[in-house]
Amino acid sequence: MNHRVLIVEDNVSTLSLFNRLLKKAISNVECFCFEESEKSIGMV
Amino acid sequence: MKSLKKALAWSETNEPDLVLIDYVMPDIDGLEFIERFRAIHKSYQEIPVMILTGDIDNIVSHKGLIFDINDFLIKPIDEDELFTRIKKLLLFRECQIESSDHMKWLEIEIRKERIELIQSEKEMVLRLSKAAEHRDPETGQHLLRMANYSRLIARELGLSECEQVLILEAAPMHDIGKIGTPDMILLKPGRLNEEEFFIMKQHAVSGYNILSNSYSLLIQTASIVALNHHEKFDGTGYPNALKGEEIPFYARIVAVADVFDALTSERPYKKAWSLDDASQFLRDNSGSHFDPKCVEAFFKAWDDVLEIHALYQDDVIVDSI
Repeated sequence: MNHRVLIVEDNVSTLSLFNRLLKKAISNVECFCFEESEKSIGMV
Repeated sequence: MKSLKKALAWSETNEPDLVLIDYVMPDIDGLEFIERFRAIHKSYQEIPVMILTGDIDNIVSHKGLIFDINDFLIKPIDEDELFTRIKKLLLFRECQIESSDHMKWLEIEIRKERIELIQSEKEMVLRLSKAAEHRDPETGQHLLRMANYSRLIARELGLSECEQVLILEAAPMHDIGKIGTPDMILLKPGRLNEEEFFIMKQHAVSGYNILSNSYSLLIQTASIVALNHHEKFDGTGYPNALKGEEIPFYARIVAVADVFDALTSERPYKKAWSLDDASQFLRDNSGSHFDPKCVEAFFKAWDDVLEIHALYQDDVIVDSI
């Protein structure tokens, strides 16, 4: 089953951690990340 | 704020399975975001949400309960704990979706079964009415006309669409009890003597006995109509000499429709009355034989009455209500 996870986080390092963990640990996961800072990493 | 709006805009067209959100963010906090997210669609109220916070104090817990947050995670984040909780929430989401799909499937199956049941019920009613019709000089067209007249009266009296359909379908069974009436009485061309009329009157109770104690609302209604359609508004009818509003409403409606059509139909023992004469009979007997409200409603629908009268002529075969 595919999963879509929406992540709303303004801390870039936390955002990266979530993204890495989710992609590594759970198969078929799509992450859509939005953050508040100017250092946006956008959608993953 | 720009990115939060972007996240909400994305959510409007994409349904996520899980939301991970930080509690502390500039301008609006995570709970406010969740409140707006939950409001996007009814189904979004069930999507699991995990909120991240460095300070799980009482206020956050309290608000979290209000906004139906599924889980909290305290910073600094433990990777193993995060992984376990995310797995748990996604599994929860899978169960939600499976359960929802199963519910939808069940709803469709129940709807199908219900349609079949209603069709079977209507078929049974039609067959019962036809069985009575075989033993009765009254024609099937009479049943169609009087049922449709009954519906018109119900409509003019402001009954709901469901109630109108109920009376339309129940009315044809009003004389089902004539199945038990001997041929020599039922088919007698002349007037019935006192003893014969006594036996003839039994058809109201016989019809009730055939139809009563049903689980079906339609058959229950038909049983009440069968028992009471020969009651008169002034209390001189049969079988129970009920008076005025003691007579069930549907039976008062059917009485007008049945008598009008009986008068305007040809029978072995009489010629058909003209529409004018039959109308005058209803007016003359309004308040004595018939409920005046039902008579008034019947004439309010007069144009439709004429249409039904023309549509269901005795030499035209129409097989359904």
